[in-house]
Amino acid sequence: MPQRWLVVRLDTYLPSRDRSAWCAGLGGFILAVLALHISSTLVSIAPVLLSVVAAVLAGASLRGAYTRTSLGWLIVGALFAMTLPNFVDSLGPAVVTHATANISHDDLIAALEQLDDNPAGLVGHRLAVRGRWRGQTAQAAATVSERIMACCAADAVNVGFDVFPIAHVNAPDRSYVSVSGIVRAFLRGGETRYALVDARVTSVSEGSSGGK
Amino acid sequence: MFLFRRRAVAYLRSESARRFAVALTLLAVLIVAARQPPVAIDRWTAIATLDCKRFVFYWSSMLLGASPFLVAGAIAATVAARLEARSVFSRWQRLVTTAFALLFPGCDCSMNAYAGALRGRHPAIVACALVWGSCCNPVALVCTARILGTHLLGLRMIVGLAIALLTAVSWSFCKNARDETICHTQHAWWEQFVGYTGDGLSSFARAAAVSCLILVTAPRLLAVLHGPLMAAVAGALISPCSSADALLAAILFRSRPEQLVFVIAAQCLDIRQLVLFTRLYGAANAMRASAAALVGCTIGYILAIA
Repeated sequence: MPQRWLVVRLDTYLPSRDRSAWCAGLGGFILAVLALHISSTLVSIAPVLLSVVAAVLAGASLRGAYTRTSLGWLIVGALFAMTLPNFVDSLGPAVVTHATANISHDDLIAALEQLDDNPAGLVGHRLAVRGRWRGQTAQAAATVSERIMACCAADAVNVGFDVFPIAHVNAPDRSYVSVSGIVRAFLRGGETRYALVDARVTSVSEGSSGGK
Repeated sequence: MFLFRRRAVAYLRSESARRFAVALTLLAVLIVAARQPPVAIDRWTAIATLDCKRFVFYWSSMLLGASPFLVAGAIAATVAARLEARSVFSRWQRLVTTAFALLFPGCDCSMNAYAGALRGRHPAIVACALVWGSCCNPVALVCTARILGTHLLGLRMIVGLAIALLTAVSWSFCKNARDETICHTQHAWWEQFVGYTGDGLSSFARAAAVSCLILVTAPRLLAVLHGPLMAAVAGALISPCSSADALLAAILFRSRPEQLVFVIAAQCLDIRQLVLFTRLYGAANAMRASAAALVGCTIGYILAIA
């Protein structure tokens, strides 16, 4: 066999103890995530299904020949879940100002769909939408957006509008707000973005509907 | 007189030499870091802390999101292995288990656990099953039809079939198509289940870690999403589930050809697929599958703009 200077080894055969450890660790992690009520920020899967998965993983790994090892890794998985932050902003473009069809009947998404189909119908008009607020930063304008998560947080994307408020806004980041402003289109980095200018921002409770 | 009678790397074979090399490297890093002004170190520490936090969050979400599919795939693999061991289907058992991979209604994540059940098959059949099952499973097709439309659905199926056939052909003519048999049949059924789940989970976790690392360290990449090449790179790096790739394609790309390239690359050229192929069939066959996926993306782009 020729010498190899760089060997990347991807173990095909894990020892049985390691397999049990992986299963137990994941089972403990899921149980802790459910107990801490942070599953909705991580994935869009129903907690009931996750609890079934955790029970299956924990039960199968603890039943085998490595009960003590599995129990230890189950605790490690649970402790790891406790170190997770409550929320992390989505990666990628700060806010995407166009939507896709058949995703949601939310007013913000509906407005973006209308802009995609017929920009002239909304640009220059006053629009009121509701969503999550994020204040202005050094790199980006303030935004009102909704988080669309199809599978997990790594795939999540924020969809909404840039906001240029008429007055200072005291709402904390990620709070639910209602924004009313005039729709304007502008270019940034070769991309057409839509913003609500001269906007009035008010804090609201979640779950209410908006309109034009 | 020669001071070094062996090649340099030979001296690193001993454990003490490796430890010395690691200690020396750490010392060099500390010396370089100590020469930096405190303001630069504080800024770097803040950025690194945020990146670590984001990495852990995304990696955890990917593991959590894939867990039901991994468990489902492992259950299916365990059932298939037990039935095969008992020769329940006799002559048709291999065809049934292979067909199950083609029609498995789960996410491509489940393939990490189920792929072990396809041992002993011809490499071409395995290639077709794994590629088609990842790219064109029923969930992916339904999401594509609902979000991107029936035209892209048809193109996705055509390109997926083309990639599966190209991969099958390339694996058939290569002698080193490794057929790793994961021997779980002599154990109890729950031990088999843990075996399949553990193997799939370790493979998926490593691939997810690489994907999250790239996502965290190259965020500007996602801010410049234009063109088919960037669509393929984004799909390969983001590596979304087959149930989420259509949605992401619709949001991140406006052009239909780029959306198609993104979804194809996300399932056939992504890190998870490559790690799975490398683990079971070797790096050479993984590279051949990647080449087939690149050809497929090109074909898909041409068909979409036609």
